[in-house]
Amino acid sequence: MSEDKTNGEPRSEKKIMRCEDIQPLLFDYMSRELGEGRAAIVREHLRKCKTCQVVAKDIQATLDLLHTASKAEPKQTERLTDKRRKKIVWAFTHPVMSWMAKHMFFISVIAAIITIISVAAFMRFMLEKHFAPIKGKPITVIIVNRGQTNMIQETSNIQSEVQQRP
Amino acid sequence: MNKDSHRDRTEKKAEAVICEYEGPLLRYAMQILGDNSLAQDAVEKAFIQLCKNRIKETDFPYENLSAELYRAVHNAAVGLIFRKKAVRDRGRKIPLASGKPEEEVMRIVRELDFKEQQIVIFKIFEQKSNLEISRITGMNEETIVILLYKSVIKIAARLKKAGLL
Repeated sequence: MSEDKTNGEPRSEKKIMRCEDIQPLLFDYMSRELGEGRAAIVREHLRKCKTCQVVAKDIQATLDLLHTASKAEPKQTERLTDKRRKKIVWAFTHPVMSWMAKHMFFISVIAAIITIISVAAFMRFMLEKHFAPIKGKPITVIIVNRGQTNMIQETSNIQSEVQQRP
Repeated sequence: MNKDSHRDRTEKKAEAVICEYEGPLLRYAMQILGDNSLAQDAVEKAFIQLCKNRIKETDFPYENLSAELYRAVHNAAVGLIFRKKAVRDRGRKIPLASGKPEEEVMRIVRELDFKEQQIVIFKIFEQKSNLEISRITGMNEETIVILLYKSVIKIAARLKKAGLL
């Protein structure tokens, strides 16, 4: 608990002076990003509150360590490799091709499905054209075979054969 | 002829955008991923994903491009981290920290939630203002202040636990 709460000092900024309100502002206060009014409140609070002083010290120590660690990071290249750069520029100039290259698997699947459907449709069309019964009125065909008479009454290719006979 | 000149213009625009942003984006990706090759992957992915659809716009490069690129790099980096974790889970070798204090600190940062990590990197390493961070992340400034405080406290606690603070 902060001192300003425990020692019962009169506080005008009762809401903002609570430790839980002050502590999130400590970072901005330390990096001088806080407005002058709020900075003054934080400063005043820090002067009195031991808890927040400890928190501020912890934050400062953590920040120092973070900065040191950041500087000690292995030196990374500041540039993309030429190969990657070329790839990006190509993607800029050929957006459609780039999209296709990226979604090669998806496009392959779609292409395969379209091919299968097309072949199936073509085969069906050819079958219907060459082997399907002739459409039209049902006909009656009489076949005389050694004295027996068979009567077939249906739509059939036989019609054309019969018509062609003399 | 006309098509070629348009292509040349597009190429120049692309080169200019890459030159301007590759450095900061690579640095940012490196801080998240800790691996130069993966950082390059993330930045390449971000450029390709984001810019190819937008370069035709007349106002390209537009005002918010930097924020969008940072977001795209972040998403790409997060995706790569998940993939890296999946690889690690399958038992392949991933280089671990060598035990140096600086590496331990960076490891602690990389273990934070992605949002916390993002804010710590932007604010502490990249020295961006709350407004800039707000533009990139889409969070409001109050949220950023609170999240940053919580992240730093969390890092401090872990550093104490590791005996570094």
